[in-house]
Amino acid sequence: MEKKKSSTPGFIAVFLVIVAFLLSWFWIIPQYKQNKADVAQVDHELTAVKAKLDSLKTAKSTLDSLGSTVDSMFVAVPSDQDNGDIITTLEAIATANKTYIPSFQISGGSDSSGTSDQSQSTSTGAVSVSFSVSGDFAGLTGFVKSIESNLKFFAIKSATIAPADDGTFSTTLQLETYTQGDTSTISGGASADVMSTATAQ
Amino acid sequence: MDLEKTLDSQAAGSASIPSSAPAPAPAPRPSGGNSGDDYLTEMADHGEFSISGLLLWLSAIIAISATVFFWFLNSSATQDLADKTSQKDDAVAEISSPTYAALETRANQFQSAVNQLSTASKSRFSMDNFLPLLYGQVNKNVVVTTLSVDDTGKVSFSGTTDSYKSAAQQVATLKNWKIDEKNVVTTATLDSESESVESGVVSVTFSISATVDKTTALSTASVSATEGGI
Repeated sequence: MEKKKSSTPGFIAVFLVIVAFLLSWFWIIPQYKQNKADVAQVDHELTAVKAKLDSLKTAKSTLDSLGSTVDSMFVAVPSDQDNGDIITTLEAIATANKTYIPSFQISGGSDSSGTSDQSQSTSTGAVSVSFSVSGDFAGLTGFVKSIESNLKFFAIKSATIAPADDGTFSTTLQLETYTQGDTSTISGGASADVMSTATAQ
Repeated sequence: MDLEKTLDSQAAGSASIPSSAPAPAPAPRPSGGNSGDDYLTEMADHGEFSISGLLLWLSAIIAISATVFFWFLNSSATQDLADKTSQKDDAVAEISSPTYAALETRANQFQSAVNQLSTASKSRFSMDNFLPLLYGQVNKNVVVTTLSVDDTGKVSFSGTTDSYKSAAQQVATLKNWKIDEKNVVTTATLDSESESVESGVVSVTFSISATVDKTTALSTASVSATEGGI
């Protein structure tokens, strides 16, 4: 009598093939693809973070090497507007040059003491200062020279000289001084820029 | 004895194969001319195994192996992702530390200050030397009423003199003003002039507008060397 062949092993084999296929196709391979995509994304982010970290480390060494230049830069262009400091500086210069400033008008920017005209945009960090200064010609030219050589940066936008009958001069000056503005708009690449700036210096 | 012979002959008969009994099938052996497939076919015919079953099991083994391979790949990628995420988190934590946060703020502030200075310096018109130089160009017979300069190089000049000719000479003086063989004023025009007589004295009031070439060496020129007043 012919022995009847069992079909169970064949079914088990087919079942295993199907299970292996389904497992691979619907679970392992999609997960693998997702993981590879995530790895690429994280790798990209990691590269950026490392670059920023390196940039910060370079910036630190650069700022350290610049030493007092950085502090001088922050005096020239401070982070916040301080109208009192502006007035004090100009009055000290006027006194040193034997000239007199009767009044000031400061506009733009945002005074840290809250006393300035805040109607203008603060993003540029420009602060406009207008005033008249009186004195002899040598005093006025000395005043202008002192303003332009002051550690705090002043740019004279316009000057109007009017001689008086008594031999003195009245000069109306419009200056601009600057604050750092909105530093949050500077990207992380600032650190690398610091390095290039320092190199240029 | 007979009984013993009989038993012996029966025993011998049971051990021997009768010539009429069917002989068992000899084991088929592949000859040099026959292929392996023929051999497998013959084996399959005799129920020892089936080719389809063999192929199915081979497929199952390959499929399971591939699945295991993919699983290992996935595990490796998962581990790689975990490692890189950990590295990134460490780097982010380092950057977010107070030391680096303060450093970044300081670097940003410094960069902003440099940018501001760079931009402002480009448009800055240094007047500490220019104002005395300009005043040196006022002719002796001209009384300045106002003298305005802005950082774009525009000059407005109003004054009084004794004649129209003197007013024109003042324009000419400005036009002829040179530093290092280079004209300082690119344009100078007499905008207005009017004559008046008071107590028999003629006076001409005039205004001049001029444009200064900012590229000339105004900041380094000697004031006394450029005085052009007549």
